[in-house]
Amino acid sequence: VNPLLVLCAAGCVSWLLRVTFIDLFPARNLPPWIRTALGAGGPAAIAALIATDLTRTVLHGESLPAVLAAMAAASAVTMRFQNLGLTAAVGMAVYWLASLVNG
Amino acid sequence: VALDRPLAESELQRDLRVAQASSHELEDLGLSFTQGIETGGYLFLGRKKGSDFDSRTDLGNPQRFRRYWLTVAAAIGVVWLSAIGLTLTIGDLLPAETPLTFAPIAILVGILVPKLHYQEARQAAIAAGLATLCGGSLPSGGGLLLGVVVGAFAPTLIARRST
Repeated sequence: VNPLLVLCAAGCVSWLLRVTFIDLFPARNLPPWIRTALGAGGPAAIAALIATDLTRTVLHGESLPAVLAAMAAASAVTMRFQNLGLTAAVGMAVYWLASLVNG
Repeated sequence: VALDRPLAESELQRDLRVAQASSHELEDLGLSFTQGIETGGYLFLGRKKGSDFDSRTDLGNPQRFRRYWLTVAAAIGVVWLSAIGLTLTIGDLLPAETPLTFAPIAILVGILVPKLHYQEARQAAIAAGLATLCGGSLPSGGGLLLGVVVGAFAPTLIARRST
């Protein structure tokens, strides 16, 4: 399949999903339980991606304690500074140091 | 939502109502189209009141408003696509074992943690993480999908059980 066609199709599906809940079925008209689920979808998706990445990283032979230490450091930096660049930098630095310690 | 201070419940509810209002409903509330968009921005982009949008006082005209945001979106698109092209080119040159392998997780943690201010978000994140780990053996990324669905509906189910 032509990759360009796949990209265009993915873009169309993404746009349709977004516009559905803005124009066709405005969120304010949906039942409360669906609105709650839509609101929780963001944190759920990000947490699921983190769990998937975490599993993949550990399965590839990386040290679980190093990953967990780096995640804790990244969380602390985010809570204190709310700066993505700083969070990534500190997370990677702690991950690198923890990996060295764990051999 | 990143805020300097916790919003009072009534203030948050009012902002949510404004962010979801149609142009006619905004008129009823005595607000302009731009004010509705800005309120949505505060809530959904995590901007802080008293900065960013508030500093732009020259966007009241709808034509200027649209030109400004279309230009910003185009600039972001160009930088985004250029960065992807660049990393596709230089990515293979980097050694496999670098701290960069942790970068995606760090970025996702940086996005998730500010959202955990609300109890529903915490419930969703914990349920999604656990469900994803439990469904890790499912084929074709099924664990990820399971995690998202379980996490999205977890706050509703927990609320129903507690009432």
